[in-house]
Amino acid sequence: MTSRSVKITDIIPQRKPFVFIDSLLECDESSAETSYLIREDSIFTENGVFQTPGLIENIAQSAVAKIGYISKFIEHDKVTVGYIGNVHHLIVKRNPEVGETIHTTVIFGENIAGIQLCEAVVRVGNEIIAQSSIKTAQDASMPVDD
Amino acid sequence: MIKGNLYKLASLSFSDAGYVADVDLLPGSEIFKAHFPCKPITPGVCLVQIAVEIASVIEKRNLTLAEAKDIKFLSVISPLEHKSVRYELSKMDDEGKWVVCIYAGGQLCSKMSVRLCNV
Repeated sequence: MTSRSVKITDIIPQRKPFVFIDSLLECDESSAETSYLIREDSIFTENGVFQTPGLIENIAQSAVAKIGYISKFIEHDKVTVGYIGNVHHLIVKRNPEVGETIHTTVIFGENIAGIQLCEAVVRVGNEIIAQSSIKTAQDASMPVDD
Repeated sequence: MIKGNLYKLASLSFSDAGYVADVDLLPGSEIFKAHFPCKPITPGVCLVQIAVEIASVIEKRNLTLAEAKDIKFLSVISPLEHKSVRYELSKMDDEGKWVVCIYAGGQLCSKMSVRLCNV
């Protein structure tokens, strides 16, 4: 099975309407790439523009999707709830609009005591629209039921 | 805007220390059912969105989050444990820099240094 064909809610703990990635396009040990079509009816769309907190959540869910994919399909373990611990040096050049598809690349850095550091870049086509560092933590005490 | 969906603004006041806003979370929100079905937790990014919406009320114009130097989430806020959340907002300069501290039950849960600009 390739990551592209995986149902996103099988690998992340969030449920609609709080899902801000559509597909896990690429996934390996050190990186992941997701896509997401900006929708009019999204919680974070205002006047046709996807707001920055939605971009942060998209980045976090991109990281969590990679962790969940490895847990579920490589290690055959449970997907667990994850939290954002820290957002660092976020710069938004512009917010994407309804109808645009964003592609988010997350590069995984060091993992210290369960805290995963990631560097993320969000693009529309070849245009970089946002970038940030983010730290996430998994809560193994809260597995998500299938 | 997630006001009315996730929360309502109970009060907003200004003192020497800056702006203080009390926010009532709405535990029946669809967001809490989705994040997460096993246990409702206020999404960290919604805490950020609420800060932007309160700053927009203060400034009487629509603001958007352009940059974040740092956003820390120190502990989670469950609407089952804490219905009321306190925001302390300080505008640091005329370039849109704000520092926001968020408390639940008297405990600091999040601190952010951000730059907000006009939509």
